[in-house]
Amino acid sequence: MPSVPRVLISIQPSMYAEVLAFSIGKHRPRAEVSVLGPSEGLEDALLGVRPHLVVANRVRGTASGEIFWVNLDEPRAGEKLELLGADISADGYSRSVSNVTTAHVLAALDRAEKELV
Amino acid sequence: MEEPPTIEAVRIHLADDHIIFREGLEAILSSREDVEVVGRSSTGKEAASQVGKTKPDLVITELDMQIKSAQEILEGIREASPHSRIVVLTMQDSLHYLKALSRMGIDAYLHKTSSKEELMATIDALSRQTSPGGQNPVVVSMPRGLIERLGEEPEGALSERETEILVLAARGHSNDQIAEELHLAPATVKRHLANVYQKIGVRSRSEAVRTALMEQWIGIGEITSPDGDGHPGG
Repeated sequence: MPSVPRVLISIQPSMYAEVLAFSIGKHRPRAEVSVLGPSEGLEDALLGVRPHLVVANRVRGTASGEIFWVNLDEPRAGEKLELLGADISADGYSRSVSNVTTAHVLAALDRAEKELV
Repeated sequence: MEEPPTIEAVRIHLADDHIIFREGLEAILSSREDVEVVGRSSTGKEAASQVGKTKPDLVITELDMQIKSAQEILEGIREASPHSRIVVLTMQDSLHYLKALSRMGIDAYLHKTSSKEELMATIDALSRQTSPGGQNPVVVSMPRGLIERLGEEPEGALSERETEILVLAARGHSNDQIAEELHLAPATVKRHLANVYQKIGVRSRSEAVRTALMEQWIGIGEITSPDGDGHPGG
């Protein structure tokens, strides 16, 4: 049976995780998307899900040859609105974006599928 | 052959500077037959300049914490599209901020830690309301934990009967309808409501409902599920 790309989403607030999971499912219906609850541990989930791409905040990961990462800033309350930056780490390269889009995540997923699946 | 009834879509403008979030939200909303996203922008200010053309039923917008700029944006939206209902979807978790926005006539306040189901329920509730801009109670979805963290106690303690009457008032029932439903005299309902106003320091039914929702003395589920148990504390 052919492998499918697996994505693990571990971001807060939960509505962000829900909408991102929906977007990925819509644009890449082949992908298996898992969303981690706020009280669930990322390390256990990494072992259980064995994702090709992790979208997370709080945790800093780098492309390990087995996992690609998109590390999002965590939205927060404040006087002024702030853009949602991200570090994308995939296939030996790393880049930062000042306002991450769905296309950035899909590009990382496509690269993960090409290189890892 | 009889044609199926057409669904009139709720037309929505989305304003949020987090593109990935806005795109996902649009994808979710657009997956519903009864919702059409007619505009999107990065800020509430941009929304105010766009909604004059599209006249959406609903504007879902993030706002920054500065009350003055929030007020300008809300006034801009109201001026450009007076019949649009305004939903503030935000990370801001200050009760004071919520109260200030409520006085500015927003229709709903949702914290971004709410679920997408709560957002959908809010859209459904607002689309059933008949008049925007302060004529109806503000719909609030804010985690109870955050309210508790704010350390603010409710200003007045309402009795079970008073809360029960307030829930029915929030559903849009008249005094006579409330009296009939609770098997009370209309004068008794009026007296209970007068007590409520005095206890929580307001002067009208809509203010009382708004305050009760904001303080989470009554919940959105109680006023949007008229067939549910609907009894406070029950």
